[in-house]
Amino acid sequence: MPRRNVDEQLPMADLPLHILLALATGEKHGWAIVKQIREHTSGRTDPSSGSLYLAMLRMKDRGLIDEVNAPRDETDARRRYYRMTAYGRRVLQAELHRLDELVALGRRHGVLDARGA
Amino acid sequence: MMRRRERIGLAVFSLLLRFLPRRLREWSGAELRELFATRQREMVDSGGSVRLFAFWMKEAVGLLVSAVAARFDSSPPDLIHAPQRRDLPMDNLLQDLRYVMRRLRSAPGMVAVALLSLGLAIGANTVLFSAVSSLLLRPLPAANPDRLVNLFTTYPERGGGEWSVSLPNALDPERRTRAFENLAAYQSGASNVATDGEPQRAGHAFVQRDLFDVVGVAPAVGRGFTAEEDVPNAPDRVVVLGNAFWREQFNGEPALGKTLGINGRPHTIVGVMPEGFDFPFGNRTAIYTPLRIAESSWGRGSGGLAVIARLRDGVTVESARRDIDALAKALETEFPKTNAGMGYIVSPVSDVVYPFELRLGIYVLFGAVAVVLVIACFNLANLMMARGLARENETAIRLALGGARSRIVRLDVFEGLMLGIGGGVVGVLFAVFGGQWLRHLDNDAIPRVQEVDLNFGVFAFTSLVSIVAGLIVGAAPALQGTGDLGGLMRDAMRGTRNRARTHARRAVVIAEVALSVILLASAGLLIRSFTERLNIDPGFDADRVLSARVALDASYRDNRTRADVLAFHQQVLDRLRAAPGVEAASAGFALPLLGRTDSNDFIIEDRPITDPASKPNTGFSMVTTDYFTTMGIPLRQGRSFDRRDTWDQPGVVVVSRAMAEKFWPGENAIGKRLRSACVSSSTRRRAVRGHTGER
Repeated sequence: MPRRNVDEQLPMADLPLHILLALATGEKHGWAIVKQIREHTSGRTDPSSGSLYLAMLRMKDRGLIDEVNAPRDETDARRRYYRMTAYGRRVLQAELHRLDELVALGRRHGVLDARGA
Repeated sequence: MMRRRERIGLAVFSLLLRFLPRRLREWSGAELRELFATRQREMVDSGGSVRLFAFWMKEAVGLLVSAVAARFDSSPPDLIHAPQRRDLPMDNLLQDLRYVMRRLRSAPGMVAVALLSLGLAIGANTVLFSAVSSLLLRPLPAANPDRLVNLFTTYPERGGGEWSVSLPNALDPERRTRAFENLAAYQSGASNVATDGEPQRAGHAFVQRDLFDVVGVAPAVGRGFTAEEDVPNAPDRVVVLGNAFWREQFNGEPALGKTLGINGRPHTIVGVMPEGFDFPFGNRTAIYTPLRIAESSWGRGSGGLAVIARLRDGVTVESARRDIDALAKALETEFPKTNAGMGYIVSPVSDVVYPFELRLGIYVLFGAVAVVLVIACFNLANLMMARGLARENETAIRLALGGARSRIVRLDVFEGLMLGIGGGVVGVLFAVFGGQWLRHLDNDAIPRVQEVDLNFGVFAFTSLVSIVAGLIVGAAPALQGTGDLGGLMRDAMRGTRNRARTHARRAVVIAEVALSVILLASAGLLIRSFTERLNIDPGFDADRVLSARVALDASYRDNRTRADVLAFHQQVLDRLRAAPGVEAASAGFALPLLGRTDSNDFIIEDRPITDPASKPNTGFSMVTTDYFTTMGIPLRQGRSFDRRDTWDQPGVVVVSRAMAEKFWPGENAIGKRLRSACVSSSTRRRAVRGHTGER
């Protein structure tokens, strides 16, 4: 495995970021990822099926996510499960850290108040 | 269970999957379908058509955008070298769209031509697809309509054709074969219906009480008919309303138990049929009443009834035909007087409602319109190729400055997509007006034509057509190839053209012209046969002739003599003749060329009948005085009817020239005598008094 650079993945586009956030709570199949993203964003982000899989293929190519075997209690054999790789977790952390710094900057400059509104 | 629109959605989505690059498709195809189906199910369960449509559009656009974007992905990235993020096409998408908009705005003429031609073609496609989907794809309003058949009688030795059925002959197929689960006889026509004293003519079906069971549709409100109500002279007169009539007359308010005057007799409303139900299928029927006839009172040799039957499970139309042919043979030996030479015809109801010719007509028209769309696409492709050629210098400069070739191709595809989507919007506008026009057509010409609406599936279809059209148009210049840079620059400097590109353009033009020639030739033939038909002299002059149907209520006739009824009609005609602007007025049973006239066997006096089975037969109609003047039918010889020819005088008849030439060739038909051969009680001799120019 070549050493992979985290910074070259930053900044992340919206959809990959949400996919990683959805997978942060555990392995999921496509439909569960969609539902998790909707839940995270109160329905504001609802990717089309095509965009979701294109984004996931690209993320797999970049080593951010991985396919895993379905858990034993999964009844539908057609479902594939995805998980975040260790590299993916590092990229997610770095991206969230970057965003966090931006938010802190906004606060310091008085653009955001303490509640974030 | 998956509903039809879900299956259509999934099928279209699966089709669109083909646009994905192979790698993405193979990796995710099955799961994408699965995900789409799950989300579609969620939409269907949660909301209406509009949300489902929005979902479809979003999924389709998402998939196509992904397909375009994925095409520009390099194969799995080289992880040693840093991936070139800046080349990710998604980032440039908006920029490209803006550029394409600017480019289109600089050529308003081309855009107008493109949008109009695409729009017209897409609009026509939408209207016809609407017609096909609402008429032919939408099932008839019955449970399992493909198991329903109509029964007719036929007399093969007398030229075949479909004839109505007598009650005994109608009931025997259910009693004496095992092919049918159940069947019902019915008649349909129009009646005078009065609500609040305001009479109107309304479609009326007289049905046996089993009818609603046979078609498998029960009244939405109230009940159907009981056995006691469906016998002659039943004391209770009851009626079930069609949904549309109920809405119009009762504003959708409860009507059960109310009274409706039908032909002057009060009927109690006992039920209302569900929305969309019409019987006979394709008719606008306002009221349904029990048939109220007894088998004993209808001679086997009579007719007048239509029959609908449901095939038993596992029985095919062919095996039903075999069974019923055997029955016809048996009936022939049992009742030789009435059933000699009679056979049955079994036709699936959909064939009766939409005869083959009508279906074929619609499909042919659909094919022609599809060809027009293909031509419009070719036309546009040609326009865009010309633009591509004109832009070669620009392309050369872009390539020389390091512009990505893929991006230049993408601009062309975008341009096509924009035109396609714009054409779709224009097309829907055309379709809305076209649809309105179609609904104004007569229901007689195409059954259920009023039900044609630009439904939601049609919008999906249009969107698909416009997107595909856009892709075709957009791909044309891209296919033409952006060529190699050196060649392009040399061409640009010398003003020469790449051979391959010239060939591509030629091919497009040839295909376009070939298709146009086919269309023009068939359109020409169609117009020619149409004008020929217009030029046929029908033998009468319909110019300035108005017609109306008059029917007296049964209650009016009840207390009056035949003379009273005749006097009534005479009075109507006299008053009409006295009205200013009226030249002539007359009454009769049928209008020429419209519908079936009655037909009758007849016997020519002084001419022995050699074969009783082949008596001469002709169509006939009964008319009042002045009929020939009113209809503009020239009298060739003899006299027309006048006031002398009352019903108690010796019978007279006017024959057509064709009949005179057929039965009295070379002779003078005037003064010859003939006799009706069928209705024995009223057989009267009639003397030929004139013959007309009618063919």
